[in-house]
Amino acid sequence: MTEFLAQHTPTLTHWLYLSTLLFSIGLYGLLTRRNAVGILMAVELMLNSAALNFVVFNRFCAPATVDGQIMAIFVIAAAAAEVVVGMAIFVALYRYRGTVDVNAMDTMKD
Amino acid sequence: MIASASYTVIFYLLAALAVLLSLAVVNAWKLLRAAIALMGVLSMSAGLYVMLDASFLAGVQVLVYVGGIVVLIVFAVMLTRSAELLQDNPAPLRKILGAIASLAFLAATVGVFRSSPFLLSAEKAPLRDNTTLIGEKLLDYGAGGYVLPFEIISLLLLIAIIGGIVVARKTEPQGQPFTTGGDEAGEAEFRPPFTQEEHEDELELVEK
Amino acid sequence: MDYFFVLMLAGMSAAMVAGGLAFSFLIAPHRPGAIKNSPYECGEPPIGQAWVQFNVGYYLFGLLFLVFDVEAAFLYPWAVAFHGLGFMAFLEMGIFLLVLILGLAYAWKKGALEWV
Repeated sequence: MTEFLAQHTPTLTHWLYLSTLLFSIGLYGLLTRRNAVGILMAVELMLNSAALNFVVFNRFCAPATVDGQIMAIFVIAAAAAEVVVGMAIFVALYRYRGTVDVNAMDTMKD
Repeated sequence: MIASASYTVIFYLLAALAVLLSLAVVNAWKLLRAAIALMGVLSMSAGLYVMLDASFLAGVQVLVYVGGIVVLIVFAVMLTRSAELLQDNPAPLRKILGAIASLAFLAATVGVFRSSPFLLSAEKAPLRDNTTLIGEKLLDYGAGGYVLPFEIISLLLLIAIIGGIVVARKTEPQGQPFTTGGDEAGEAEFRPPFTQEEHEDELELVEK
Repeated sequence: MDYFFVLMLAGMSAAMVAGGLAFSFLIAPHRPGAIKNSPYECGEPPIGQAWVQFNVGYYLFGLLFLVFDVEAAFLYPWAVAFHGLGFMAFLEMGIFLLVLILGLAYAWKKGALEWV
């Protein structure tokens, strides 16, 4: 049992399966959610899996450097800025319209 | 032997928890539950970063993502009363179409990375401290350094502060907090919280 | 492995929480009633909903906290690598901090730091 597990440590492909799966789940949430805050949470999932991908490639393709980790830190900083402005917009929209349902936000359609 | 066996076990444990919790993030009816599940996914990712020899990044993940971004999302859920006003249960057709699109994306990406060769490196992770390496690389202004993106991040954060304050503050009804000390000279003086008339107008606006 | 104890701590704390919940679920009597299920307000009957509109001030504080949280995350590797870096790195971090202090000054001037 221990030998079997020790011989099956996760390879690059396994890590990529994980991050792709997380990204697809985020995409599903992005497409199905109606609440704007829920959509932003799905976007966070996708950003997180992208950062994970950077670190995975860093670890398996160039372990002596830290470029992938630095890119992941930039992704986290960009996600923080995105959340700050996005949430401010949702709070403002709720104040004006009383809803955060994205289906109701069609003012520019007319 | 034991070390690599436990590495495998922990990887599959964290991966399974991350996938289950992210399914909860996109499917939970109540948004607060989705936010807590998101916190779980991000903590699991921090564990995965540790397994990838990126311990500083795991710290940043916990500090910024779990401790900051999720807190702000919870604030926004409370402020917009999303959990109460909009029980987010999408129509079946929408669910099916979304599932088809994301499964198609999954299949395409898996097909691409299974059929492409990667230049794997057998090198070990550097023995030097991970945080020191990141610090040196981040502030390096020579070739391969990241000083320009680093300075641009500070500008991005400045823009986020200004944008967030302007957008979130503008919508306050007059006399509510944070309208003091504004642009006009007279705005800083005291006002009563709000008149009855203003309050009714606000209520009408919300009902619309 | 260095992180073995972190894992043990996480496992044990999760087990304690789960154990407490499971234990109380197993041995506590379940007789819910309308009065027992109502939110507790110091013995008074509750007024209105438990969901109230929160002040937007919480959001402004959260926003500033998040931005300076990111700043701290960038300061940390600089501080650790400080001895190996030259004067230029000090200058670069100075510019970084100056830009963010501009943001803090803006927030201060607009009154986002005041709690009314």
